[in-house]
Amino acid sequence: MTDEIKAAGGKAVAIHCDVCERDSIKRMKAEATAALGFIKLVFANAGATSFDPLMDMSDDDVDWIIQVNLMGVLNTARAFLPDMMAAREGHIVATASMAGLLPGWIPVHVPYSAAKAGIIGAMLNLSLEMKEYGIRTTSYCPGGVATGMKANNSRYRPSRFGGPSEGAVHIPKASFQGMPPAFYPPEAIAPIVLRAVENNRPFVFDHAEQRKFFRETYSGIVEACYDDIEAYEKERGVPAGVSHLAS
Amino acid sequence: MTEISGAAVVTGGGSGIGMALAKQLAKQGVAVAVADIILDNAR
Repeated sequence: MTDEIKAAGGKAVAIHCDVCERDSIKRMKAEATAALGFIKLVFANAGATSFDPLMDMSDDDVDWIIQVNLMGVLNTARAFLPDMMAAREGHIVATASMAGLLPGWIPVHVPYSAAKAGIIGAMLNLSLEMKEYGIRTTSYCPGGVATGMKANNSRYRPSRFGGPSEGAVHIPKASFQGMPPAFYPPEAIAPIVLRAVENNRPFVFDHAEQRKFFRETYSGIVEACYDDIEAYEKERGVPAGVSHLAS
Repeated sequence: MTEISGAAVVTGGGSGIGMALAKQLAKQGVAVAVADIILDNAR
């Protein structure tokens, strides 16, 4: 990886990091900064997937998926933010998932969907908090990219969550209702992600046709539930006993 | 507008999407720290 970049005349450094461990992230941050100086762009991308029914999963299975995906991103952001705040610039790009944007779309994906939805929540809220520092955030939501995750996923599992193993992830038929998305090569989506970062977009998507799933499984449902409360208020008024946050 | 320049870190940069992002960043002139739980994949 870095050998290839260096051979092409680029500057790169390879660093070990287990994003499940804060100390490992802190060491990696120190090493990266020592080698390259101020890190302006952080791609909190490391993650692992899971397509097991929730009640078939061990506690370790669940904890690992939450830790690597959600806490990994949060702790990576927390390690690099102080330098960005001091420099008053920077951009954090987290790899979320369509499973996080649309947790009602792909079944048998509970801890993964929860962690990826959490990433989106963290990135959107962080951008509000970091506005005064000029720091931006972006959530990238892959909707079908041939990452090799299916084959390699269990190799990334740290020992405290049961350790690495071999064997592909089994994806149940129910998860894509017999209609898996087109999987694009990672090299094809990388320029799409960087262009969205340049444009300070809060999200990056890579499958335009998935907008219909957003409407069917998310925005349509949210709108209908707003219709419910709007109808209730029209019929019976707003709930009685209003109080306000003390300022 | 975030200029794609300076230095970047990519976690999970040793394979898949992370690897592609790291390569694209390098191609656009960014110095890249490639972090991975499997160090050999990052190298």
